Amino acid sequence: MSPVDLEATPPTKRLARLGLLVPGLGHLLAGEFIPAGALFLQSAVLFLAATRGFTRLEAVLRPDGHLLVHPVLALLAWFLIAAIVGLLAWRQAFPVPRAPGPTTWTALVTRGFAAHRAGMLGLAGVALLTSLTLLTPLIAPFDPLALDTGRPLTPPSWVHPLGTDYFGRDVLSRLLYGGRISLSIGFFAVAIAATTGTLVGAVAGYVGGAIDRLLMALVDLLLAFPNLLLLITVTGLFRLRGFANLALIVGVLGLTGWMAVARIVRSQVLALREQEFVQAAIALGLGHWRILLGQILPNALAPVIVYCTLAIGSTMLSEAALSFLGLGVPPPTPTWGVMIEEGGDVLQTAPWIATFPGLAILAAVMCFNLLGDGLRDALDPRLRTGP
Amino acid sequence: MISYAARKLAYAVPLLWGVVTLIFLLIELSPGTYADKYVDENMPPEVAQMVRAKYQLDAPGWIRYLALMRNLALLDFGISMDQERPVFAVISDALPHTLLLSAVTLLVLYPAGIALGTVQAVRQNGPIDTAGSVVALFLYSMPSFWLAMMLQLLVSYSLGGAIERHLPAWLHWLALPSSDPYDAVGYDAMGPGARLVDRVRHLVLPGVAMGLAGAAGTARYMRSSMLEVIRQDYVRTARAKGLREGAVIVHHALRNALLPILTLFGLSLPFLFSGAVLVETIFAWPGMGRLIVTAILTQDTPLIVACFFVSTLLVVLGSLVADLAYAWADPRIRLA
Repeated sequence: MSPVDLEATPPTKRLARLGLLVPGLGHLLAGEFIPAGALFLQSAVLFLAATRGFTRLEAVLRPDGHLLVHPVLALLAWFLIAAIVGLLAWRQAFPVPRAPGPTTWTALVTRGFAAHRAGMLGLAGVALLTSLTLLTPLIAPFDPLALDTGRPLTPPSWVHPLGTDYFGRDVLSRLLYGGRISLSIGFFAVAIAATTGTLVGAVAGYVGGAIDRLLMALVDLLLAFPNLLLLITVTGLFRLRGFANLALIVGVLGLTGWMAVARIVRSQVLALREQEFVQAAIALGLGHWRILLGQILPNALAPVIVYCTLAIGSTMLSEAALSFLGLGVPPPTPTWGVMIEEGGDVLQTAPWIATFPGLAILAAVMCFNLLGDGLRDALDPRLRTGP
Repeated sequence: MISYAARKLAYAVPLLWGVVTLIFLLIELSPGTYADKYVDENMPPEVAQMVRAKYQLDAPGWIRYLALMRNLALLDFGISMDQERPVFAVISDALPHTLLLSAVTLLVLYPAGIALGTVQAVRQNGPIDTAGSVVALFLYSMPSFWLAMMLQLLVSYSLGGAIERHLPAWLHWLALPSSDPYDAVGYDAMGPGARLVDRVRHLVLPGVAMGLAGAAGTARYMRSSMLEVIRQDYVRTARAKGLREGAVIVHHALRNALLPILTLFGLSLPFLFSGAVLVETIFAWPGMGRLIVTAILTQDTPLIVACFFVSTLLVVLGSLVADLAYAWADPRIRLA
């Protein structure tokens, strides 16, 4: 929003902008009580969910002696979400008149993505999954670690919509809490992979010469391992306890996934290095880091975003495979892979235990694949393949 | 072409060195050794020393590394610590099982993938195309081991149970077994024909489980490759000559559309190996996949190193096969 815009706004409206800090306050100050009430109610629900969530979350993770997400971080996440929802509601109520001008890249991409039906379906699925995992403590009918919530191996019923497992634990509750862990592992591992890969690829492409050859030889070497074998080796040799093993798995999944990112970024940097705007930056006397981080990388990131979206899905599949082999997150912490493994022993008598977590993985990975395809078509039409 | 192959194989040497060194380093850095299984605190130190000496774990790491390098250069893989017999024998027991499973997988993977991709391309944007894409996306997003378990559940337990209950005894072979490579009872007493039938029955489910996920990926490639070919002038010429549509697709378009799939074939060889880890575990198939997992869990150094040696060789051979096959099929490609 430009400063000119701000001056033209009447003082009451300017005061109302404060409302962005606390969702609903803006509406209240502007005298709009219905949207204000709705937003306050929503904030209260979110706050309750967050606080109630902590106690449940602590109860879940204390047996292992670790917390997955720090309460303060969770609280911040909640406020961020509340603020975004509030902002969207605000914009809906008071649309900002837009001066006709050149179509921006963002507008083009957004329009392209909105027209991509499969991509929008994936986005909706990912949003649904994320909100389900965030609201888990409110939705989950039982404590996922509580034994004997019903008779062991009860088929799906009204009390236990997805049945119970061998220890009488509620499968739906375990599925929801497991989703939190499986999704977090996917996000964090891909974040590590993307950071490492971008750094390595950017340095290799920008510096070139011997460093480039050395880094790319390392990439070739690591790509010579079938990925799953490397994962099995590291997690099998270093089996740690509790939280340390969870961190190990995230780290290993991240550090075995960066090679493709490095290759993508390197090729992008090699192409961008020769472009006029980079030459102009050099001529202006900018430092190497400023050119690399400020000029080249922002233009190289589109394919990385696409790759990472797809990689979240495949990382979740790898995590499930590791857990299935008994090399993943140690029990009793639920993840989808662990649940399939547990269900495998009683597949014939209680098929629901292995079936539902598998369907959950299938749905999650499919959503990330759809989202990735949609982003690819929207961000870079040159990369378009398939339908 | 021969010199190209030779150079490509020579490239395998530094790669093998890198892989073996990295694996050795990982084993060295990991806590504990194989000998810990037999050593405890109450043992007199000289006995503990003897146990370590038995597995040649008493020397410092760099000496063992050099010894390993020398032995590998002489293609001597040593003796498996856990199985107490030569690693070469252990691997030559397991490798044929995995190769057999891989062959069946390929028999499922490529025909299914190529057929689906071709049909999708011919009926581009129609309902068949959309349905095919959805099916491919499904298979592609599915954990392969979960698919294997669902096949066990649906085909082996449910359908197999129904067959055994409702059909006469001479049709019971239609019920596919869920695990174990052969019927434990009576395999040794079977004649060669019965053994073959038994083997095939046990291979169907693992082969399908491993093949379907790969088929989804192949179908995607095949579709886009076919779409490219189908728009070319010579295909239009074939149609203009009055050939039937089926003949145009199968005899003219398909042959050229298969070229990229050939490359894919070579590159997919090593991944059959890692996919086998999960499927072999589920179906209790005594191949390389299960061998690697047991070797890692017991810290059986010579066996781990040998398994990775074989898998890296497969990577190099796979990419060589891909290049050579491409050059053979497409005379425009010259390997320099």
